[in-house]
Amino acid sequence: MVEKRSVSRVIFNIFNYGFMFLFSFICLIPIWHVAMASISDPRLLMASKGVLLKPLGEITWDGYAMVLTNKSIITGYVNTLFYVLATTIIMALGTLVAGFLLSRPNFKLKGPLGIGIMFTMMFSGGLIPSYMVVRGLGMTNTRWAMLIPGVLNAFYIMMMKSAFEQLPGSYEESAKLDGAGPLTILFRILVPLLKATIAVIVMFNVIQQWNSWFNASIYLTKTREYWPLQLFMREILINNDASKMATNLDAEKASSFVGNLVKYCVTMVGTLPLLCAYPFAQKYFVTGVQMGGVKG
Amino acid sequence: MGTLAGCGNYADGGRNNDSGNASGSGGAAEEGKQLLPEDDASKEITFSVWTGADDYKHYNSYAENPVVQCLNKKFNIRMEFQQPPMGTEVDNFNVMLGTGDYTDVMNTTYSTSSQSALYEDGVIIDIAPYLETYMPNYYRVLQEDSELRRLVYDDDGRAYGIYNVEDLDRNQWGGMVYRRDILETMTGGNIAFPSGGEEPVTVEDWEYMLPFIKTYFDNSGMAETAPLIIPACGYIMTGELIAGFGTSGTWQLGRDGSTVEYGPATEEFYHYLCKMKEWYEAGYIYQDFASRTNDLFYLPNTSLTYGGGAGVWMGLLGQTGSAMSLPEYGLNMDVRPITAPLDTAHGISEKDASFYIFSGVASMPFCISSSCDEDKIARILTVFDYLFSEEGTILRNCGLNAEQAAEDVIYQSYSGMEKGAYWYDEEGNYCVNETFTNATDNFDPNSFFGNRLPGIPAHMPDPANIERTAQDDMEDHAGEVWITYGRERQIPTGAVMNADESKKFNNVRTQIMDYVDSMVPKFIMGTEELTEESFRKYVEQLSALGMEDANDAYRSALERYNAR
Amino acid sequence: MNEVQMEKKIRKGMTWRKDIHVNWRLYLLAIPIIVYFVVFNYAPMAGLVMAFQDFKPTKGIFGSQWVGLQNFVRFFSSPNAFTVIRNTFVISALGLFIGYPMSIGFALLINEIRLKWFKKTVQTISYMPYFITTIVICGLIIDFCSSSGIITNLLVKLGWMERQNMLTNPDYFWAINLISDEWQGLGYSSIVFIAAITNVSGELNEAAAIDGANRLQRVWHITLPGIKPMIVSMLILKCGMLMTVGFDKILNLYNPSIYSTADVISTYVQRVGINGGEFGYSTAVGMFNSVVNTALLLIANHLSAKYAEQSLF
Repeated sequence: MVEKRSVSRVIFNIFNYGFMFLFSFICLIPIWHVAMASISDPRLLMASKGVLLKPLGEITWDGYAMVLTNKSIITGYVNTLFYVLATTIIMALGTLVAGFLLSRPNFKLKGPLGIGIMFTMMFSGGLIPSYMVVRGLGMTNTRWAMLIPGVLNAFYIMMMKSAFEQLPGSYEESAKLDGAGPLTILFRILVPLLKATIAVIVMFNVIQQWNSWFNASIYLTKTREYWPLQLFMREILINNDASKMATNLDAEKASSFVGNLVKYCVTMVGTLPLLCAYPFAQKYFVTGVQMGGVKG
Repeated sequence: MGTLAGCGNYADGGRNNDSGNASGSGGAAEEGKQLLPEDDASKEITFSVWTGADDYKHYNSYAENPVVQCLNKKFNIRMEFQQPPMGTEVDNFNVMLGTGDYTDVMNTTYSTSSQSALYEDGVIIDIAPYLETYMPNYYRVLQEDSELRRLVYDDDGRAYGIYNVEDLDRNQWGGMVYRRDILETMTGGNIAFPSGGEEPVTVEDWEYMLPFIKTYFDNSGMAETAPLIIPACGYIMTGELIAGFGTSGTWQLGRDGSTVEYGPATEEFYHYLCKMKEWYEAGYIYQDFASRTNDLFYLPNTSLTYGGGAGVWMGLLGQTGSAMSLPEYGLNMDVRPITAPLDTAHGISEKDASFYIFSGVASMPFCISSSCDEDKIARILTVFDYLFSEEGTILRNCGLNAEQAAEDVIYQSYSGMEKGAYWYDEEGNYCVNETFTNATDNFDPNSFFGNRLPGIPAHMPDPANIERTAQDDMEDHAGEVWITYGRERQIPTGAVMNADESKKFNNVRTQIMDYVDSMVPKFIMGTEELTEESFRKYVEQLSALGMEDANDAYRSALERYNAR
Repeated sequence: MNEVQMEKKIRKGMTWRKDIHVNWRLYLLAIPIIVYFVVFNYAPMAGLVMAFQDFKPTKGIFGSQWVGLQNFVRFFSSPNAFTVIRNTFVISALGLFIGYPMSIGFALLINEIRLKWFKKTVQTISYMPYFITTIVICGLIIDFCSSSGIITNLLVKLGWMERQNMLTNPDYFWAINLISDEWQGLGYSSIVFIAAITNVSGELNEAAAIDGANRLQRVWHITLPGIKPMIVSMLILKCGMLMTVGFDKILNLYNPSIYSTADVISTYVQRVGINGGEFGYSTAVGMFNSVVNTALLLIANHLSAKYAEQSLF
């Protein structure tokens, strides 16, 4: 399409590009600040204020060395990868089936099921009863506690349901005539058409799982070896603050400041994988979210 | 003192020396035999312990702690630890209580109900009857310290916790500090405090000092400076600074020592506010103090303190002397400890001042839960009692000796630590492993001790192989300065509220503190008018919010404590 | 009669027995889903009774004392109740009425960018702040708004206010919170709309351009109606969260001198809860939140069905 080059268009473009440039700059500030702080001289960092545009003093990788040699970080990374992968599969299967059911036109259970699922978005029972259920199932201090509770989410199911409803009915009609069952229709015919929506909920789930720590903190108190990355990171962050308080140990003279870098290094280590993965997922968002959110 | 025994073995005779059981504990032993089932030392027992976590660099769970490992071997036990991540302890403890899934031993520090309440609800057991028989060392410690004894035993003579006994005089890790170098520069070395001493003591002295600091900073060209930093709520919770005005920011004993009053409602508090407001208007107080809620009160705005932009603040031992200097950037600081300014204009003298450290004589009570198998209790008590013996104290506080370290994975895996944490040289002098002093950031000294277990502090001689530095002397000096005022008006830690009192107190506590915390900064910054009239209204509002209820709750707890 | 109505009629006419007979395979598929929600969501809802108890962890749900509506009475009669409810509502409504249109506007502006690489880069960068820990973001905000911070300096230079710490002035908190929310979340929250816009038919747009419609007209008459369903369904969901304000950020940003505008329900419950471990009380407050949210969701859904001919359920 050829754009008309009217004066107002040019003025608009100047402003629009200018605004976007400025906005990008503002959005870049925090991550840039964190990146620069993570390799700054820790003692100077302690005495600095405001945004860092370049590292302070000599560049140091001590903070990263400290974080990455922490025994727990590696364990955490491996666990988190496993949880992200496994929950994504479970979540995708459950959400697909639930969304599919809610979108069946001649299904009497559809109404009650939909309301039942929506209701869980608004009300929850709280910590202790949830714990008792999970414990009753023998899941506490096992990896199952990270995989099953909370894996299905009403929001995603509603999104999936809308996506199914958007598809023209003709696709499955022919399949039905061939005598295909619901599972065949779902996985053979509909899933390939909804790749984009699935990609979106997968991405949402990955972000959510990557950042989750609360369930682990409640259910995995005896099994630190199962902890996800974020829980270890949280502990490092909190502990780092707490241990700044000089202890009565002569050895811990305040001469060491590398601890100050930890907050920044942990942020980088914890979010960089997601930041890098995001642009790749971006192309799916372009068609995905739209199909999910809409009910015509 | 010679080389101490290795991890040894409890089963073959360990119980006969000072580490072990009741052989020398006197008359009650006979009777005590029936208290608990006979403990078969040759049988390994396993027990679980709920306690808070730390991020130890050299292991994942406290069960791998070298001291724990050593105890495991010595007593033929296996300790399992249930540790919630830091920051979620309260939730976790409540979940454990709510689900009835108790561990055998629990550290009740994070409990929201008192030990008496836990006992009444059947969560923990009373260990008082067993102390003399099974815990002779702990029992002896209790006999020697009346304040500790009053903390451990409740009104009905029951005892629940095995405590970590604090070393208050040695643990003074922080207090007010000031930049001596600024004063030297501004006065050309002729510092003349109005009170005549070497160091500032009175409000007058501070008012002599603060203008110098302000002028110094005004001329320094620095973007942000603060002659005096106070925390976001307007006073330091542990009582530094405000102590000089004869009051505190929390509940305290009245001047007669037998009543309870709420610091922020006292007349002295009004004097404090007036002075702070005056100083704030004069530009002495950090203009942004009220927004710094995320700063730990002992680490106020580090960019100011470490950047050389602060004059007086709540500092740490490690910040004293020239420790904060950055000669390569032309920053030379001489940081000195300082006492709170005595409000002599209102007749406050040293004896009226008192600071309020939060930690009491003891902390981290380990309690035995009701779901602990009766057969195990004797052994568990014996293990914990060992930590109060001479040998156990050294093991817990100083770490493993060479012989013990030879059996420990963690000690062996860290280069430099395989020699043990300490040893005695040929002349019998106490020596500390140099690895501790030359520690790098990837080395975590705390991993090698057992400070997370209950016990008493070890008073070891200064190590012979490590030289005392000027910094060490400065820190000793700071420790002395900071405890000048004592803690006479602190409500004793042992004055614990019962269920009714604590309910009454909790109902009003948040709203009272919220109100005080929101009003004090406004009074100081001048956004709320500060006159005797407005202060009276503020005190009236505190009463309306239930301050008397809270005072009453404390008072009855105190009365019961005093009667013990 | 449209399809939806017809479908409803058909379903009504069908008896359960008949439906199970016809759709037995669907019922079979529904079993695991129902079991999941019953076990992990509905069973724990028994815990909601804590709202009516003086809940003691040691006594559990079955042993704790019943106190009727005492927890609710305590919340509504506490001196802070009105303030925290109002603040929660205002902060969240500002997000809805200002923040929400802004994310749509941002998506429209992004859509106007023709340079592909620039568009992608802007998009990628704009969601980055979303991933930075709240603590770090709040640290920066506190720095910027301090009495010598860059934002304060700017506003003072422009003559818009006197030099002061903006975070200790109750009048500014809502603005600071809203603006920083947008800073952190604008890019992320507009992804949905950017995606929706790309799907609006290009043909229509082109035809309109040939008919001489200018950009603004095309946005107004083609793009916006095209993404209307998305806007409406997100709006309904947002209405259902109007009484929920993420508390991490406020907890890190507020201070006692601005409780009057910054204290929200969740931060208040956190303070009370942590001090007293009061499960009953916080469950009661949470329940109040849920009820209000549900009511708002139902109202929004109803209004939307009536006026926008679209509903979530």
